[in-house]
Amino acid sequence: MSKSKFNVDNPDDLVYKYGADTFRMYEMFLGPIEQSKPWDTKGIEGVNRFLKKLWRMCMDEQKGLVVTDEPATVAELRVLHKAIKKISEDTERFSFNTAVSAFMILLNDLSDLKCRKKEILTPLLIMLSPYAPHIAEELYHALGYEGSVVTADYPQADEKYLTESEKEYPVSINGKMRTTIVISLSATQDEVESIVMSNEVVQRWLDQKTPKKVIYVKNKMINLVV
Amino acid sequence: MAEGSHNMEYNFRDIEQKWQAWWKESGTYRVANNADKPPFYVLDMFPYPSGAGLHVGHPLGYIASDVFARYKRLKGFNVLHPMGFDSFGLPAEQYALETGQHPAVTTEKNIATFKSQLEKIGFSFDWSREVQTSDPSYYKWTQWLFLKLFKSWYNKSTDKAEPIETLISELEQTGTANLKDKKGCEVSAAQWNAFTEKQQQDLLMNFRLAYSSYGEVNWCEQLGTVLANDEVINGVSERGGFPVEKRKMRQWFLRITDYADRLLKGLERVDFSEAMKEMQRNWIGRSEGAEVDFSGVAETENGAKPFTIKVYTTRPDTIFGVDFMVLAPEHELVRGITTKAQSGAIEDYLQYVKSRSDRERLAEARQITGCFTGAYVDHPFMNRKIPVWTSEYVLSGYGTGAIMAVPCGDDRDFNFAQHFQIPITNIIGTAFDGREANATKDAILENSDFLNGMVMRDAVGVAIDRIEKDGLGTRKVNYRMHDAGFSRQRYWGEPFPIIWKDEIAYPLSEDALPLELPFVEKYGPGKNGEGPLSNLEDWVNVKEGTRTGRRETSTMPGYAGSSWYFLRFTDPDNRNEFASKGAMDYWGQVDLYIGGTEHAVGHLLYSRMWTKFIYDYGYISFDEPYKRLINQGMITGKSYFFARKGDSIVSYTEDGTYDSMVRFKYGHKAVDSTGKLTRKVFEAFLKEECMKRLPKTLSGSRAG
Repeated sequence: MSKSKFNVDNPDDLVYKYGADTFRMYEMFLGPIEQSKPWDTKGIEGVNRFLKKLWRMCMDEQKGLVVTDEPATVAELRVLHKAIKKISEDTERFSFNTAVSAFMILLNDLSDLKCRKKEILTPLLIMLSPYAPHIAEELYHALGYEGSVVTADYPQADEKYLTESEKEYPVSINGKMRTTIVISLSATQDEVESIVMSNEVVQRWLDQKTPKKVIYVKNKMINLVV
Repeated sequence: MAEGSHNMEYNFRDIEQKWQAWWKESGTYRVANNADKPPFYVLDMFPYPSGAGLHVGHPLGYIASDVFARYKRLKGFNVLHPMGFDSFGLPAEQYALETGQHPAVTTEKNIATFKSQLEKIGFSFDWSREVQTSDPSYYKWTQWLFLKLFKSWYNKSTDKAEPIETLISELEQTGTANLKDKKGCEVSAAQWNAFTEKQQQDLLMNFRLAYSSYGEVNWCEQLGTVLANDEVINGVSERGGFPVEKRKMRQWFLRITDYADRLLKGLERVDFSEAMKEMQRNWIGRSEGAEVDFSGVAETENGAKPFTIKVYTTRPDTIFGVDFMVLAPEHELVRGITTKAQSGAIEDYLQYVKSRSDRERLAEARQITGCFTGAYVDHPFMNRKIPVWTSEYVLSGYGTGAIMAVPCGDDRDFNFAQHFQIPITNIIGTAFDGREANATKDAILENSDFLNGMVMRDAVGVAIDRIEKDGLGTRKVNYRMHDAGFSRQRYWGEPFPIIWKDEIAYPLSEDALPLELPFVEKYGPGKNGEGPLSNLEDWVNVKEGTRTGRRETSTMPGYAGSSWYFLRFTDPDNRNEFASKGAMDYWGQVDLYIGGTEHAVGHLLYSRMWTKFIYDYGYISFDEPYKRLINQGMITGKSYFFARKGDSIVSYTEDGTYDSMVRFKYGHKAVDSTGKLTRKVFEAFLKEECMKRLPKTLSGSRAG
């Protein structure tokens, strides 16, 4: 007789061991909501680590709250607004598992930027509150807000942080890619030409010659015909 | 920071407890019916509070809906996100039978367990709106809606439900002459007016939307009750795994077939998955075709007897390919036309079929059984005798319970003909190779008299026209769906507000509601398959003024209370109405409904029908209850062993007792090339099958 026994897990035990927030996020992280999937608690540690990491971003064991009122940098705002767009869109279309991974990416990015700013963490906590309401409520209050996070407004993704302002162009000479140059997307043909011509690598390949033509396709490529 | 705990570690236990208490105390998730915000209604299929409590599969849907409800709140919506309990049902009663504990007691205990478990997960339910279907203040309105159904008929001319009085007044004036759907009744106004009360009431019973009739039911001796088709798995009860047999009994039904077309059309206006819509369409099973009469003379033990077999066919174009007829074993003609020589064989066969469930009969196509009655009918268009057989592959409930068998065009007919060596007529030339049937509609007809040379799909209409012209039958739309059985011979359900007197069903007056479920000491069945309530003589026998009568002793099925609960959440404390128009207008349809696919053809269809009925009376302004439905997948969870038993997969509970909540054939699918059941294939198959039909025990939510 072939037997197959599935894990025996009671939600109570998991909530006791990891907390309701971890349990909630993990169930959402298991996969697309409409698909069947086997229960497997191996991955629950990862979600738990995510929440601990968020906690440590706001709280220090000795010093307590370590969140600052400094204004956010453009890089931090970019990371945040990209996440707002992704998480709200995913939630709206019931793609909860991808929203959970977007939270994880956001936290890693902020951690890389060493960000502990209230301006960034407030919208993050509001966005997180549907998924992990307890820790969101706790930290939201810790940041000094009164009333439940339930009454907050969902953050809006700001277009200006979503669109890239510069582009790293591949620069070819006679069809062969020789280097890349970062140029503002608003640059004109003349500006592009002067930037390209003053580039050391380009100068080396041109070897004193003047190109017949500088082909510039915005957001795509730059090609010099010699 | 929030007062106190300056514990700087992530101490989730303290944090979660603190906020759960704070939310409860400050009524954070209470929602008013009127706010300056747009309304949004997020609903879970409410659970049956089983003794086992929550398992990991349960919360998946609840968490998803909670995430969405919270998200919508942050987005500025006034969100209704309630929770309640579908607390009537068989398991509590079965448990009571085993332990002697009253279902009310165990149910209350189970609900308390569920609630504390749900609370720990931090859901944002508005518990002030909780409903329990077994609470008299709730089931008062289930009974009220039942009475409304009882006192209504479906007027095919206005295409909606109407008070039975409008039918009575039509009968008084013109009889059944102008009725679009006569339900098999033909009376003139004069005849109607001359009817006795009993005759009138019997006729009205054919029209009422909740009605009583003798029906064939799945009777389970061990559970002492009638089971719905979806509670019978492979011939045994879903719960307990006891054998189930067919029996005729007085039952209550909902005339859901009158809503069949609207239930189909409504699917175009809702956001359900295509798979879900397809399941509902299949269940409703609408087909267009013709009813055709085949006549013959039976040489029975009692002499020659003329008879007519009515068949329903969607392929009247194949009428010249008929090689035999098949009656369902339950068909009333079977015994009547059987010849003396065949009567012994027929009796044996009927005995065998009695033990088989519909599902088994349809599913096991490979196993061919049947028996010749000895009788013949004449082909309506040519001089040919056609033998009449009976076989379990024809179900009594579909169409007329009889078919014309065309082996060259239908697989089962072909296999049957092969098995019993019945000669096969080919009407489609080379399209039929003699090795298997070809169900094509595109072949050109041969050997088909007036249909010769026509493409089959074009011949359908021609054949129906000719059948009608020659008076051999009529054009007809047919549904696979039956009227829904609405009574159970058990205790733990809503009592019917009906008193029988001289075989007439009289409704209780509305101010007598709720008719509370009386307390019983014993939950065993009463006499003659009646429910436990029949043991309470004092309760059953009623004197009301001059009228003495006997109460209906069966109770309503599990899906009664769940057919309208989403409306009650909008106005749960209303003592005067099932919910106020204002509240139901404000919240409107359920914007997002989350639950398992196991309710595809049960709860979801019934609640859609009730909603249409309630809409017909103008109480609500929408006739589809759920705008959008999400079916959460199953988490293959805990506490069951799945094991191979013969060619079936069965389940055992943890202590090793056979449970049979899960029992199905895996056939060839879970077997590798050497014929062994591999674990990998087994699990993949199991997952798919469980999701398809048996997740009630695993995905948790139960609303039917």
